[in-house]
Amino acid sequence: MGKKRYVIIGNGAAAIRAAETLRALDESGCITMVSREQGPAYSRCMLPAFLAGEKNEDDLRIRAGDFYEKHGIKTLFGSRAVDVDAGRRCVVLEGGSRVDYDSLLIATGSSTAFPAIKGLEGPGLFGLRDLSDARKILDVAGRGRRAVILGAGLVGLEAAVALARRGMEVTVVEKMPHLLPRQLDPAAAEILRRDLDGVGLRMIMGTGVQEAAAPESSGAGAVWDLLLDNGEHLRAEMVIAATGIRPNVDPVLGTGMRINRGITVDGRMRTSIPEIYAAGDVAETRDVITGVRMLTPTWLHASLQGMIAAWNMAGRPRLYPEPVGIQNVVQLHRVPVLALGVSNPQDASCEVIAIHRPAENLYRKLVLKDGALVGAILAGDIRMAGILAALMRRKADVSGFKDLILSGDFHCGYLARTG
Amino acid sequence: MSLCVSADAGLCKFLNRRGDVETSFNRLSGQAVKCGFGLQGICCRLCSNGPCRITLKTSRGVCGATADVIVARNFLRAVAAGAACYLHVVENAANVLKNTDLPYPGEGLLDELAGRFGIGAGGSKEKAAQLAGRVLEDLYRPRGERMELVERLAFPRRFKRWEELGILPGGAKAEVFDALVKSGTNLSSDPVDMLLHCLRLGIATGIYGLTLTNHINDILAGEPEIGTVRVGFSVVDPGYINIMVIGHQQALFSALQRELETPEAVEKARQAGAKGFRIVGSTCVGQDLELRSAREHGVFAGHAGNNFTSEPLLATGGIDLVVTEFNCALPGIEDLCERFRVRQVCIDDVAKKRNAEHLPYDFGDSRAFAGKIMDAALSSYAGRRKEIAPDIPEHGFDGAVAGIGEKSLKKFLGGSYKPLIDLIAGGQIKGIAGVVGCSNLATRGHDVFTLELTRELIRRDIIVLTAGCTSGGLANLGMTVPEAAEQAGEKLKEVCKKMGIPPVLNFGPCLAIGRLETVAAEIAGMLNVDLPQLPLALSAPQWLEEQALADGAFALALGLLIHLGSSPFIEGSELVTGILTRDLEEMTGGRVLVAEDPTQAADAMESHILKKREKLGI
Amino acid sequence: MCRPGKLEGVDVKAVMVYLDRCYGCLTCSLACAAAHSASGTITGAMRERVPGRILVEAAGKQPVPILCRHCDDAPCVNACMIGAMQQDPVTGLVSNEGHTQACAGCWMCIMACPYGAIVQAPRGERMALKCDGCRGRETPACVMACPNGALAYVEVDDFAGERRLKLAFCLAEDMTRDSRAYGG
Repeated sequence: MGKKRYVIIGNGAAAIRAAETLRALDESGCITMVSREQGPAYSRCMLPAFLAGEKNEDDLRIRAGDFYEKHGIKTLFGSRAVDVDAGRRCVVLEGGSRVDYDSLLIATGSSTAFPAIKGLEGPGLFGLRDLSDARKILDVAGRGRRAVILGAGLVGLEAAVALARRGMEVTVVEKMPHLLPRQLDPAAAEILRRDLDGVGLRMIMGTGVQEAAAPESSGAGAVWDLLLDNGEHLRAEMVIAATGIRPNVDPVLGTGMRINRGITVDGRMRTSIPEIYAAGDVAETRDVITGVRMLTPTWLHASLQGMIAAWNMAGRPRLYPEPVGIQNVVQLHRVPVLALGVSNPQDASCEVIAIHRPAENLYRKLVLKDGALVGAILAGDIRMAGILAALMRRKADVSGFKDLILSGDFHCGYLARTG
Repeated sequence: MSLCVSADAGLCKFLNRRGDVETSFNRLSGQAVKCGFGLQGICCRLCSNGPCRITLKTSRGVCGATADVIVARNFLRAVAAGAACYLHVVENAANVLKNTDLPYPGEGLLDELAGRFGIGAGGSKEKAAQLAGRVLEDLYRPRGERMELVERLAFPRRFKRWEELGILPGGAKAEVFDALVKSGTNLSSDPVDMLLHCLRLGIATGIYGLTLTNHINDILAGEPEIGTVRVGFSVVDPGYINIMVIGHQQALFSALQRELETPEAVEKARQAGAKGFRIVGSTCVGQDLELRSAREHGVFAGHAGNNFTSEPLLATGGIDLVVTEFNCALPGIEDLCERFRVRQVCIDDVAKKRNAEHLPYDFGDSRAFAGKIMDAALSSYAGRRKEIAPDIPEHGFDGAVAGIGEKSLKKFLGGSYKPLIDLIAGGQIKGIAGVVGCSNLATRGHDVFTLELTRELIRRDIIVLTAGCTSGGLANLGMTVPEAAEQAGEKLKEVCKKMGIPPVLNFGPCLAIGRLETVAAEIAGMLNVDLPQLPLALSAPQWLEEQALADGAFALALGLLIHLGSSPFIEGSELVTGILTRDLEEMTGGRVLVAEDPTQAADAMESHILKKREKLGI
Repeated sequence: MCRPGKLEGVDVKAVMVYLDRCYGCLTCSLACAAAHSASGTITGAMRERVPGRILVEAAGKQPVPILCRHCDDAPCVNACMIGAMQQDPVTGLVSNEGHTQACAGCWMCIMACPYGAIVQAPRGERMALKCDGCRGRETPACVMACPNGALAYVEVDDFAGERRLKLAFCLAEDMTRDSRAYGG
């Protein structure tokens, strides 16, 4: 057998981690990376820092300049993969050219899912998923002074803080009653909100947008008019939608591959079609806590999935270690806030214990089920986060020391063994 | 921040509710990692070749000092420092006595002691001055001269044993002084000699620092009388101007007590909008005040709590002035005083706080001095009450038995210790345990070991006598109310119920450890035996500081078993540990027992008591 | 799982912890701070307020040194969203310093590390701090400083060595709080 041909569609966290792992495992294989975006890999998570003007484009790069060259990776950047011919094992690019593979990784990431709001279409409406979005936002930010962010999730808040740091008047509109509704509970959200008082955002909670009127043109002075459910009108030069994402499954829609919300993969990151793997935002894995299949659109999961996919692509079977599905940490201003697993349990059989000291910006909430930790929220003090995530993944019975964990004095020394 | 546990649920509840207040309880977890060299006493910082440590790899310091030498030096220095503290207290008490005019509430005791010390005829004022002079004379003797009052106060059989062992102390201050010299850089490297020196310091501490301080305070403020009192934070009445006292020197407060009771003082308080002045007891001096005011409380509001309750007490906002004169004046009170706008006055600079005004006690004009304290309280009250609303939790117990001393107990028993001896001989009371000393946070939590051990002991029908922060803690935990008898073993319970007493007898401050010795000596005298033969064991379950080690050295000289809940930093030396925990019993009869578990400690104390009973044939 | 890029014949060393020899004196942590300070001395590090990157925590009465294990396939490397946290393919050292990208202080690595061996830099600086293996020193400062030999710098090139490390420091599932269970 000759050199194995690996093709990776994508150039994000999963794709890069997969590529470097492949090269480490297979010195001679041909690795090709296909990406619709131009330029080397960058950190999408750092786009807010770019928006805020704290980092330039070079700073966003996640690998050294000679990464592709050094790893012997052929790059087809600026090429959109439009189809996969699984029978002939080739990827079809826009324009019709084909790239043959022995093993293929779909790491196409996700796009902004724009909310279905009447009139929400036109110039000055953006998502924030990639560098081109960010460049367009900066272009408008240079002319306008007002921005409305739809959604107080992680992307929305980070974008809001970044634009506020640029000196814009930013209003965040969120349908749910508190910030980061998917991750936090009201107590943690309130600590975060007070932390954001130091940034100067206007936040309108518990209200959606009823109707939008797009500006006539995209030129100077073009202004959006948003009518909120509460009757208020918001005017702004730009609107950023941060209410959800959509996995980029388009290139494989014609393959008959099993797709749920994302591409369903097994414990070795294999899709339902032989020699095609998926990793990152586009893939759907099983959550270790709930057992439910879910998207895990975070950097941590994407990297790990890319790495595991690479081992299996290289013929070295290795299982995805199933980290806790929801793991988010953010520090928007001064107070770090973090959520793990089932942080807002609906299940009445869960036990919830918490320490809440708002004056110290401290909140620590643990969710237990049958003695095992299934969720946590930490605000202010995040030292224990990694240990808690490990305990959750292992479903360790923590009932004997849950108070110690709650006190904040727990550390992995309690788990040490002499050997 | 996380909270350490206290046996006192009400205190925990208050602290948890006041999560915005930082106290020692919050700081404990930050110091959870203990340095093993310090714990074992094998770190030496005496010279610039150091700090040296005895490690698994090196058995000697640069100078050649072994673990035995380093541990012994460190231990002697600690005992010397502790002795110095108590000697400071007795020195001040003697100076107050010398300068105080009649009347003396404890005049009877003055006469008795004058007789014992061979002080001839003369008025009471003259006797008091001479007695004080005799105490001071002994304290200031050179080391080569024996102190005279030791023989007059010590239990005769003990005195004889001490003389045989050559551990009768010279001048007390000189003994402390030479202990420092001896344990200096490249001086003594004889661990045994240094431990014998500890015993001399122990005797000086016990006879002078404890017993004579008690006697002088009894003369100045009256002897204890048994009564029932309220204890805990609830003693603070925000309607009054509350002066919190911290320290060990009741003698320095007698004038203030008298002054605050005068109609002029009450009028001043009224003009400021208060009902009057109150002294709120905290730490040992509060226990001393409680001891002597169990019948008539006067301006004394009651005892609020022991050493580590002082910070939470300030957080109630009900305190208007803090007066410090000795330990345990935790450095942590400084920030709390600032936060709750409590003015601080220090009347003895050995307990000077950074932000306290130094108003040294005026031995010559104690009335004028008291007036200054009153004025400080008035001005602090007027300034702070507009801004700080007191938040005093329901806390403590009513009906706690207090005022127990060697004489009041004897009086209660009908003028003789015989009934107690009979109960012990008859087996209704198995023996006596002295649970004494401090409280700390690190040995299982505030008052936790003390409470668990006390419960274990009384369950075994061993009556508990307590003195020091242990008694403040046990009182706040409801162990000194007669109803606590329910927690005792069947026999002890019956005795308590019949006599209407709790199974835990509160003798007051740590100084009253001297009173326990007197009780033991009286019993031994009646039985015609020596102290080590008694069915008696001591414990300082949560010993905190150097003074406790000096007390412990006294107990060892007395020939008693003394249990400690944590090691006194000696375990790095097999020699020192062996002597203190084993070999010393051959010499004085006393030994140290370290047990970190309350049940194990109670087991060991009980078996010690049973062994002594057997030897006595009871 | 061995590191894919590991070179044959190159000694990979790691800090081994002997819990029973640890007295909790914190000398390792002070020496670490000194090694990462401008002055290079313990007192200087205290003055500069440089934190130690090896922590010593108390599990009951047992002091436990906690430091980066420089895991292969380290979770912190996967978690780092700026590419600052990387493992050196030759030495195996995992560090967020000395690479093209600077740490952004997003704390993803803190969330990922099962040992809690990564901490936030003091005084609000957005930088994660962790053991960098004392690059440039033959033996890490903490190991050199330990007076009791509780820390040893040993080769982990064989299976047995790796197994020992895991035994010495693992996330067990039947944990109890009882300090006596931790040996020492």
